[in-house]
Amino acid sequence: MGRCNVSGRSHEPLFWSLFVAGSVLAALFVPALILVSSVFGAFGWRWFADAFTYDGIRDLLQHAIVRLAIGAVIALIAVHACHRLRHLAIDLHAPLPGGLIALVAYGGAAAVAALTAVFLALI
Amino acid sequence: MNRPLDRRLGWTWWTLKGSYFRIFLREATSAFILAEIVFFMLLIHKAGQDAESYLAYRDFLWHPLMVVFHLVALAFALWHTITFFLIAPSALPSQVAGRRIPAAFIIGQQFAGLAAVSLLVILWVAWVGAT
Repeated sequence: MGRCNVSGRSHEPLFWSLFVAGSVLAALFVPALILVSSVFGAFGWRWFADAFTYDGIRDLLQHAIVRLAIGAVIALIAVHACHRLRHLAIDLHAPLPGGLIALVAYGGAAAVAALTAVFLALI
Repeated sequence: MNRPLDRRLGWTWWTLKGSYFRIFLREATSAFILAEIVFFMLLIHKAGQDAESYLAYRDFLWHPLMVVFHLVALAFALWHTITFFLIAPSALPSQVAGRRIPAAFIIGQQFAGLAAVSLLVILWVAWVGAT
């Protein structure tokens, strides 16, 4: 993915390694995350509906270790998704400067990561 | 990765060939994954507020039309999972300690990992819900 940088000074390797870490986490966690938070409860399956009552979700997010893990997983998945969206925008020939696309993409990923950390800390 | 970077193809390159379309689909998974991550982030945000606003947001997430969106997003998420697992054998060293590792073994291990992680998450949430 990405172009070769003749000068050899590219940030691509950094973003790419975070992207791959996020790819692994997205591949492993996102299907289960969608199912438990948005599908099973909506189907009325009792244990999952009970886990997402107000008291239920506060129980789920009670432990600091759980919050740390969720924050790290979400941050890396956000980098994965935004990096890939950036390449999608480039591949669809978005008529915008490459620097602007990168700024929006990685800025967006950083915003999701930072907001998630704040929201987890505020519970 | 073989990608149609040739700009002369125009931005509709992904309609030209089945293999191009699959590349497009794989990149498009990111939009659905990002959307679901943001929905989940907002659920965490609402969990830190009062019960009324949390339940209003949860009911929005569980609205039948939203569930249709979640199921489409789930299909895209699984497409990412499958395509990502299938390229792993070409990204990893093919030999360890002089012995060849069959591609099917690497792929199988990853799907076993997916099953284990999914089961753990589902059981954990069900356990919290049941107790």
